[in-house]
Amino acid sequence: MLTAGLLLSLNQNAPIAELTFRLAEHPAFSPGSKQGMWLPVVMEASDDAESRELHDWIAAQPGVAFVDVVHVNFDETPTAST
Amino acid sequence: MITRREFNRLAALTAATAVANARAQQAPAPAANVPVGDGITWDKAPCRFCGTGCHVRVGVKNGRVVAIEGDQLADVNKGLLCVKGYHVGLALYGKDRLTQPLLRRNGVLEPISWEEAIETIAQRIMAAPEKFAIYGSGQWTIPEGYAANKFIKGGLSNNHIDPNARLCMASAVTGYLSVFGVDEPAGCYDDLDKCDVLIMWGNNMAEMHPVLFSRVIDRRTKGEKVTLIDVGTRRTRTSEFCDHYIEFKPHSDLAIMNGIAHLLIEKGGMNAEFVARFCNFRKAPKDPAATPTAPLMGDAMTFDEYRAALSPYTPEQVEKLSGVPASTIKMLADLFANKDLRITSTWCMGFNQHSRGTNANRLCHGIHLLSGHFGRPGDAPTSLTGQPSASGTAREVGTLCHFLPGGRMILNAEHRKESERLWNLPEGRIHPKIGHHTMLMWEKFCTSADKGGDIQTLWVQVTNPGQSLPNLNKVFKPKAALPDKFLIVSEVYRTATTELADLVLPSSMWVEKNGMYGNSERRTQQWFRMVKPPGEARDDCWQMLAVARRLHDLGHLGMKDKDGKFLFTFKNDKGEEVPVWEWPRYYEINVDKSLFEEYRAFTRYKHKDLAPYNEYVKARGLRWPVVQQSDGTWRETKFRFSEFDDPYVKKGAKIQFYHSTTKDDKAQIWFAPAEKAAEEPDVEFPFWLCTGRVLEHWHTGTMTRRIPQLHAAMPHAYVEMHPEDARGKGFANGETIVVKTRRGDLKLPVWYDGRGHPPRGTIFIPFFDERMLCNELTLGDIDPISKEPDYKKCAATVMRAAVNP
Repeated sequence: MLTAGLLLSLNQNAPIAELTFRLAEHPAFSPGSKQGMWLPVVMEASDDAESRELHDWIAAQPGVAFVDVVHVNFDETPTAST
Repeated sequence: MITRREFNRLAALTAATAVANARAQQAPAPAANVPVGDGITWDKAPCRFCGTGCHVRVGVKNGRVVAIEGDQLADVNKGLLCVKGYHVGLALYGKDRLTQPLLRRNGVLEPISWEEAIETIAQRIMAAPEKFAIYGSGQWTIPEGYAANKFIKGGLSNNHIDPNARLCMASAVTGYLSVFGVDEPAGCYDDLDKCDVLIMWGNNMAEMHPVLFSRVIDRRTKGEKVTLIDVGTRRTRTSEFCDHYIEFKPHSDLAIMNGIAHLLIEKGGMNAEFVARFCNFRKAPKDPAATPTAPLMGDAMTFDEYRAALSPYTPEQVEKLSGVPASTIKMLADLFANKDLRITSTWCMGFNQHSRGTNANRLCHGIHLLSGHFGRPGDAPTSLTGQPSASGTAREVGTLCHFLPGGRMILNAEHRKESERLWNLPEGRIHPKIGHHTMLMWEKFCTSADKGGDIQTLWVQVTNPGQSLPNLNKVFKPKAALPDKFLIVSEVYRTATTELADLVLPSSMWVEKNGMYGNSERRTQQWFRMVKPPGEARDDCWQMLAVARRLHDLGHLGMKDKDGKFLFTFKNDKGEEVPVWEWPRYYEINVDKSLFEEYRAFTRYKHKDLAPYNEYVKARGLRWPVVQQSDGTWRETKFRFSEFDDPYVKKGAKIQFYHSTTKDDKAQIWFAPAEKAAEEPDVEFPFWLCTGRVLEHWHTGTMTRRIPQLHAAMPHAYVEMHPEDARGKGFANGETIVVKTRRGDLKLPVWYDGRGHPPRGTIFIPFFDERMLCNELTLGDIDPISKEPDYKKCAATVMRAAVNP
């Protein structure tokens, strides 16, 4: 399980309520309290590919200008070889 | 009692909320009150990957890195990381880490002891020290590079050492040297916080330096107006954020910059006062071979001559050359003519990996100087680096074949003498002839001795030339047929380079060792070892010192200083010598600190002053020159050459280029003509081929391809095409096709309407995938001044795979 703390930079006209609702109902995300134009979000990914897919999904949501990562815990993540 | 999962969620949310709160308050983020009690210990380190120099907090539990967090105390990233950075801890834990020295016998790499490995290297060097070379890296730590430089130049009297930074930053170096007389940017990342206009010249910052790009996007989020301009040959993720995307024909960037300069002069946009006070004009020398420094010095030209030289570059003519509308050239010139704006230019491989890379750098500096957009926060021309210590180790330590530490030159007798004094060497120890630069070194190594191949033994550390050199079929692969050549590779994983290695040494990486890096903005950073390397892997620096000591014991006189002491003699706090060449005793003292303090003595000459080691332990990096204040504290410098911030600028001077090549405290505005590329598309090879990077993978992918999340996100290379070009050839999206140049051919899937969008007539291949080596195709024509190869332009053709199996 990979647990990441994300920081969403929101557009000026971001549909905040809709975005927060969409994140709240998504099983992989837990939104925090919006601070100005920034929204902290916890993301949990269950397998190797999912974290990147989720990252792309959240970046594509209306109102999201940019996604930065603040924290990640991967102590139960498997390793790979090429 | 909370569960492990709940704990991790709480820690992630706490950290993200702290940064969000700080941004909303527009204040530096305080250290997050991350919950404790999970058994994780935290320490700081710069990220292992690019040249941005983000600081991370590394969480360690049970001797293993288990968590990564953006360091909220770090000025560079203010708590943020990119997708590569937050997976950086996993780069340590690929299943196929090298854990034993391996020697090739009968074509097979077999485990041997470290003693045998060190003895093998020492005997090869003893047999022919002048035929030995080191190929290093902008990923070497500062102490590693310094030790290697001293070992070969000061010990073996041999200058055949060059870093892979020759492949990425050498043209930026020659650009800075010939314009300002000293390398590296005058400004820093603070410019990104102050500029009104950011022009990214061939620089896909959103993917290659995403944390810096985020810094600018953040300003927009706050409601500030920042105009973003992407000047490039291929539409990228960066383009999508920009107000203007300006697409030009490959190799025509010099024409565009000449066009801007022409309009600044003809339409009154030049800042005449700034130019008269702070600038001279230069052009290429009539006889570049007259003196070794002639290409960097150039010949003087008058303003009238400069103006006349630019006169052909009318907007209409530039449009013909570049494909950029004349109105757009005028728009750019108008921006530079506006003195109320603050303009920052950034560039990276687009300018540097260019067979006229030095001139591209010069012209960009030139339009900033001509318009006076220099010397105020937000007004700066700034190159970005791709490796974490291309600046700190390659450029500042001087691990290039023509440099000595601290900006000194091999060809300068006084510089050699001073370096010998600082290293306590007998006079004349340092060889007066420069060594082989990267391309020449590999060409000589891949040529038999009877045909002039004068490098017999080559030691590679912390880089992967078997994938990253251009035109591999000429400068790397021929080694396979030359059994008398001996390739030593210090690595953490098997790579395209170890495929041909005769001896492989397993290395420690990143927080498995102490280290120091220097990032793109002159910031020197430090970290401590946090976990142990796997198996028998050992530090690269130790490997070099162990070989040096073995040579000493074998009687190589170069391993002694002029007092007969070993070149790398270190003492503990009690004044007792510690034999650090014995691995169990290597960490008995801090070797990094000893080497760094010795290196510091070199840094004053070019006013690149570094603080004592312990200052870096306390800080999240400091930007040089770092100068001690009257109260004993150490102060970094954000803006060089500007009186308001740089302590070396004379009072009242306002701006002073105190290393001016013309010795009059002025910078040089160069004229350089637009020229044709070395190889352009024709009937047989009708496409431009450009190569580069992708967001998920760092350079040759040896680390990031072993990180499951990144590997899954971008599992293999591809060739990007314009959809009309692809459909015209009948290619389906994802179909495997053949890309062919005069140097080789390669099968890979075609991708259109994907992430990047090349224009018609252009294709793009990323170089991260060792199974699809695009550098078998590249030309590698070098810039005549910097010797840096061009990876961005050569002629290619494409065909169905079935047609050319």
